[in-house]
Amino acid sequence: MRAALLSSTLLAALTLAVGCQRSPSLATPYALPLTEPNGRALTGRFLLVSDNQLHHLYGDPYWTRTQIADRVIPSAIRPVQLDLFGRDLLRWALERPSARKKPIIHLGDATDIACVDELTAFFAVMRRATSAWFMAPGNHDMYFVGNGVFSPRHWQRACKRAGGPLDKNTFINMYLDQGLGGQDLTDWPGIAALTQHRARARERGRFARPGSLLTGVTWDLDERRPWRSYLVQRLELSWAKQKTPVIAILLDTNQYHSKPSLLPLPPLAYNAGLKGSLLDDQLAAVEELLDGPEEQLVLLMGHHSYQQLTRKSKARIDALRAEHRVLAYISAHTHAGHYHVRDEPSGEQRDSWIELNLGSMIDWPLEYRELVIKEIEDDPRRVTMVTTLHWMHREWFSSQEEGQQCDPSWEGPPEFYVGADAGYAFKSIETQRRVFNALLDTHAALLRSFPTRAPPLGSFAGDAAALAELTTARSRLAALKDGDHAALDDIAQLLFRLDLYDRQRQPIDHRGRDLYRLCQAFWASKYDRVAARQPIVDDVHIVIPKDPRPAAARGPENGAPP
Amino acid sequence: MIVALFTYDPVTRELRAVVEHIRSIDDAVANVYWKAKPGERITPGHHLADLEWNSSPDTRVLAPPGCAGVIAFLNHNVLSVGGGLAEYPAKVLLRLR
Repeated sequence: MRAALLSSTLLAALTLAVGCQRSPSLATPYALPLTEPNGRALTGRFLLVSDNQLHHLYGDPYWTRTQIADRVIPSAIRPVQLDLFGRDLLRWALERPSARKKPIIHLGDATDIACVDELTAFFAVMRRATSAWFMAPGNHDMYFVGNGVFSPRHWQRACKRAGGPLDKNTFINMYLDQGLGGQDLTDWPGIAALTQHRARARERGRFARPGSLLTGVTWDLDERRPWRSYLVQRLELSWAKQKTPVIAILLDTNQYHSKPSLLPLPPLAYNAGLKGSLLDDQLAAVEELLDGPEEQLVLLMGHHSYQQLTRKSKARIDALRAEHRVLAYISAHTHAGHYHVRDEPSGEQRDSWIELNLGSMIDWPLEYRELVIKEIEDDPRRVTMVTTLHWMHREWFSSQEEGQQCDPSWEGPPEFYVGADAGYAFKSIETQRRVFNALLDTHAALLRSFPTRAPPLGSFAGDAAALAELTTARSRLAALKDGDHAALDDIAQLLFRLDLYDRQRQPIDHRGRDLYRLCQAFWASKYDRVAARQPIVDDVHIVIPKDPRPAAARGPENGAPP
Repeated sequence: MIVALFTYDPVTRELRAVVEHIRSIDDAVANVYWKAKPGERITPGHHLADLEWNSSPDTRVLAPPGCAGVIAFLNHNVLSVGGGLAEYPAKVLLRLR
């Protein structure tokens, strides 16, 4: 009791202390008009996306995938449906009419565990983009579950059937060769020239191509200490016709002096999920990329928020801001999109500036943004940064003309959609068993609801064959004994094949199947937000029984059990 | 074939986007730069705005036939709220008194 009282008092004092830390107001040259100021655009219109966290489900159990991990990091384990169908959310956003023909800047965490084939699958989704795309790396794209370089055996096991671990150097090489290099090179001369340059420069390179969208890339791979490698990119956002150039620098905030680890020991070792970092050699490369006329406007972009950077890295960003006309820093990583006003003393003046933090495309509220920089008519000393917000769920609910309604009968039991409390266990093998159970049920529902017109070659002979194997696997899973890793591995292999089958087959109702997948992802993201099958603030339709009294009070004629 | 990207409704006195026509263009609208101002009297053919595209040259938005009167409202937020010109419901660009 005394302990409870003490902890309550401490909690109250902490809340009060945090509550007293007021966020500063923006200095007066900044303005927040409710109506967009009129003016010519200085740049094209871009899409900003981030943190889609494409997850591989068919590896071996690994120790961070437990209820304890999820208690510490709420997004450590997502619901099965979100891991299985999360990529459909990214696909849906790319296919929106409002997304067409807008170059995309991805601010990192395309993958989740950091497996090679997670990145390959991400590239496959990005092929649906109707314009060029670029990416600043995130901690999940190169460090085991976004934290660091540790437990190599577990990392290997987690990435079984997914090409193995995706370390930093592998990420940089894959991004340059397959991510950028896999795009339609005829449309984008800068990317095409980079691809040719890569034939001569593998470990390090400094590439510049004026007059295109991608105007510069610098990378340096440290073979022995890959956490010291870096990749920076320069994008020309402005049109050639504009007198005021606007560029974006995509930073690498995952560059550490020492190997990042799960347990942070700053300043010796950081956890990449908790702290971002960039080193002096990257800063020197950025300075070179920033070369331009004095009036050049700059947007700095990186995965970690400014607040989450190490003290030295913040100082490096501040040095860039002091030397160049940096309009804003745009970040991601928090999965809780927001603006942050920075205001610090700078000599006798104040240093007031703004950070835009981009939310996630998988964790509610699902969002992405557009970006355009505009002149202001009759005000040559200021510009407008327009960052149109797309809340995906709201746009989805309002896009009913395309028949995007979820059939209520598609909604599965709560454990399909709620990761932490209902589905996950204290032992990773038990977590795996529950995940596989839900996956088997999901694939059975998919095949029964959306039968196949033509099965892909080299896979199951048809739906009946797939369902037969699925039924056998469910029985095996139900009878699974503790430690029977071989049986669990067989089921993982079957689920891997089923996933591939579903993505390659041609269902009779193709649109219905795609919609089903999307509905599952939306439900999972929503319920995972509140860790239960509960309405959230966005819900406006709630079906309620006419007689909601307790069953005992209703009487047998009103539906109470006899 | 030249298609009308906007249509004037004489009943509501509103100029609206034609979503299907906007979608049929292989480019994205980056910005609407307004030439007209609220309170201004316009007649058909009046230069209302320039559409600035990501890749193509600007398109002049001219008041279509029947679009005559005094501008009551210009939608400066047409691209920043509600998904832009390529999304339903069709966006209102301006309303006449």
